Amino acid sequence: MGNMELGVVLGATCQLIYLSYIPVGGANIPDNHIAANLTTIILGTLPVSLDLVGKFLPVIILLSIFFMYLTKLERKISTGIMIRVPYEDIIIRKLIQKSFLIHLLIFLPSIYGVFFFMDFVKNDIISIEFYSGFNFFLFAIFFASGSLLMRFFKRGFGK
Amino acid sequence: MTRIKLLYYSFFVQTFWNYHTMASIGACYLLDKLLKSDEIPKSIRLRLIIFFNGHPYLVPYAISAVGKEIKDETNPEKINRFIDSVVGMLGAIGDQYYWNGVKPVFLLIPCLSVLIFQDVLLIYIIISISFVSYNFIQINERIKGIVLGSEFGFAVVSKIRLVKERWGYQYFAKISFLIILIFSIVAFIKYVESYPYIIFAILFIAWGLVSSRRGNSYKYLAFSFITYCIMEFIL
Repeated sequence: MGNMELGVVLGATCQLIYLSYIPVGGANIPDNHIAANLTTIILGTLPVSLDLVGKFLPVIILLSIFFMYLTKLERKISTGIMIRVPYEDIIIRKLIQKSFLIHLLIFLPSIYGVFFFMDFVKNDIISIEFYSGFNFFLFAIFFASGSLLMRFFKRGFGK
Repeated sequence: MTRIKLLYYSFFVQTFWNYHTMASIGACYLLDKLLKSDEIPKSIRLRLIIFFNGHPYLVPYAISAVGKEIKDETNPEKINRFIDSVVGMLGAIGDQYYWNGVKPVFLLIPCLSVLIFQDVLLIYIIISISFVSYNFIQINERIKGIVLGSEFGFAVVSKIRLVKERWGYQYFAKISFLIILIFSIVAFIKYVESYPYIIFAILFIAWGLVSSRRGNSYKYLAFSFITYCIMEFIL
């Protein structure tokens, strides 16, 4: 990719935000993995700076929410199929194949679409002046830290 | 060889996850791979399809126990009752141990290393160790589930309960709390250059604390953004 360091800083920040979102139990959460990886690939050739990471954090948050809704859509399609199929006649193998097909049909075009769109608007995002990347980076880090501290304090200490 | 095959199929437990029957299809798929299709009584297969859920790393415990009991020709009614009772336990214990303990620790250690160390090579090594360790733990749990389930049958419940006695169940969350505390303090020292930054950093941590306390309320998130806008305006 050209710039592993950028990937590491971006990835670490996104993981911290992700952890402060992650619920303990089954629920839809923003898909930060795809969003952060896509952003790293797109920004791979640029030099790492906290300002650059901060400038793209709002974009990553929006993208991860977008992919969360795609996951929700996939699950809703699966639910729709499950409601219609009589349980006695289910062929598990076919449902598993269908699941992979649904996943590929939804996610592959979306990832490619987002990639080309992000690549197209990359320079516009970098040139944005109405917020400072470094300030947003600090905001994301400290807000996520505060949120996490309370979560572990509230429910995290053992039995 | 069969165990390796089962380990491979255990990664498909959450395939076709849906809001109606949850992880039932993945669990049934794992059971299909464990036994031949015609060996599984129809009532048990139907029970699994109707509803099944649980933490993906702990599901092999239950499914291989079901497989063992089917092989021993236990009454299907009893097996169905076992499935009913084990579903809640798999979720509660697994989520608390893995999602609230193991995962945060193994994510936060690399995050902290990025903030503390300058040496990129050292950071890569820490990330790699963390990645390998986490996956070792979860793969080990799956293998353990397959082995213990097929050995103990219904009695595997006591083995699932033993997860609560593990050192990590009690301490991983505490370690995570400490790492975040260190993370916040180091971030203060490293990035904060002047007192307005210190004030805003304290404010953001405070909003984060309150927001989480109230269950990630949108209201507190909105207040934080207002604080952020003020910061942009002042600095």
